Amino acid sequence: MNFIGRIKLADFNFGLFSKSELPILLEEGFEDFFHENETNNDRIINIHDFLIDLPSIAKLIYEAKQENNVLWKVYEVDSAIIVEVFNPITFEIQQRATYSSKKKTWDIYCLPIITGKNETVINPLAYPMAPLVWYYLSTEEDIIMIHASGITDQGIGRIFSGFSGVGKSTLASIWNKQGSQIINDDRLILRVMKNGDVMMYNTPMPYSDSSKATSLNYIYLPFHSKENSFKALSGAQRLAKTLAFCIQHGYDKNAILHHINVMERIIKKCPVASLGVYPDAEICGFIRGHEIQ
Amino acid sequence: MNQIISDIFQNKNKFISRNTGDELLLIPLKDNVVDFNQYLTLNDVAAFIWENLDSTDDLKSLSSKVCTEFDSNEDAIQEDIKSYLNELHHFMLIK
Repeated sequence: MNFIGRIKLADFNFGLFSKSELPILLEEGFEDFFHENETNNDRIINIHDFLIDLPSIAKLIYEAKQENNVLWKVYEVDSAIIVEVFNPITFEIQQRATYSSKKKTWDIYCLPIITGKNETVINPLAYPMAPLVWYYLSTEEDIIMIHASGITDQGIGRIFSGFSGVGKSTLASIWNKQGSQIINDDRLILRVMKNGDVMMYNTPMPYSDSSKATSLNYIYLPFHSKENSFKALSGAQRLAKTLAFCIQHGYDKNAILHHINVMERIIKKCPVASLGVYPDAEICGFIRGHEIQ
Repeated sequence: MNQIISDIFQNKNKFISRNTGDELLLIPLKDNVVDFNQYLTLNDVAAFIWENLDSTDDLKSLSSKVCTEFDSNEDAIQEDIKSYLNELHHFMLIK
C-alpha cells in the first residue's frame, strides 16, 4: 500500500493508502482538507481499483432509497460491514467498501474512470461515499453531522438548522454581509471536545472551500415569518427537534443512542431556540439581543 | 384496557426512549429508521409505566406498581393511568 496523504476532518485524520498504480482523483472540495504529510491516523482508508464481489453470507441490513432508486446498501458480514454505493445519477454501482470498526479501517473498491482530460483515474470518495465515511465516524466518535448553516461572529458561533428552504443559506448570507465568517451554509459537523466545549467544522463539498473550524455557542431552528420571533426550547423538545435535523441512517440502535448522547452534551452547552425570521439585516441584532451573555 | 396494555408491551421495541431529566422522550422507529420529527414526551408517572410494564401486567397490577412507586391511592390514580395508557396506545398506533 502506498501512502497517498491524509484527509483531516473535524480534527480526525483519515490516512489514504492505495494499492493501485492509477492516480487517485479527489474532487475540488477536498483540496484544503488534504495533507501530504503523514501523522497518526484515526482511521485508515485503503483504496483498490477493482470491485469485490459480495460474499454470499452478506446480510442486507439497510437500503437508502430516493423514490425507487437505491442510493446505497449496507450489509453485515461477521464483524464488518459492506457498503455498496450507487452513482446518484446513473444508479450504477460506484463503490463497494468494507469497514471494520475493530481495525478502524475502510477498504474502498471502485472501478477506474476516464476523466474529461482522457486520464484513467480512480475516484474512491465520489459522492456519496465520502459523507458515508464521515457518517460512520459519527457513530463512533463524539461528533454529529447536521443540516445547518454556521457562522462565527466575533468569536461567537451560531448554527441555523433545518431542512431545505427554511432559510439557512439566507441567514448565513445576512450575517456574512455584516462581517461574520460562514463556516458552511448547508452541512456541518459538530464535535464535543474533551472539556465539554463544542466545535463546528465544515466538510469537503462539491465546490472549493477552505477547511474551517470554530466554537459553537448557540443553536437556532429558523422558520419563515413576517416578523422576527424567538422562543427558547427546553427539555425533551429541545433534544428531539435538534436531532431531527442531524444526519443519521438509523438502522443501528446503538448508533442512534450514541447520537442522542452526543446531542445531549451539545445542547447542555449551547442554548437552542426556535427562531421566526424576517430575512433582513435586523435579524442579527434581534438574535444578539436575545442571547444569554 | 388489558388489550391496550398488551399492545403497548408488544410494540415497545419499535420505539427508542431517552430520559432527559424531567421527561422521557419516546421516538418511533419506522422500518427500523428513527424519526425524530415524531416524538412523545412522558411525565414521571407515564415514564414509570413505560419503563416498568411487563408481559404479565394488567390494569390492576400496573396500578399497584404505580401506587407503590408514587405513594398514592389506587382508586385516585387509576383514571390517570388509563389516560396515560390511552395516550401511549394512540401514539404507538399512529406511528
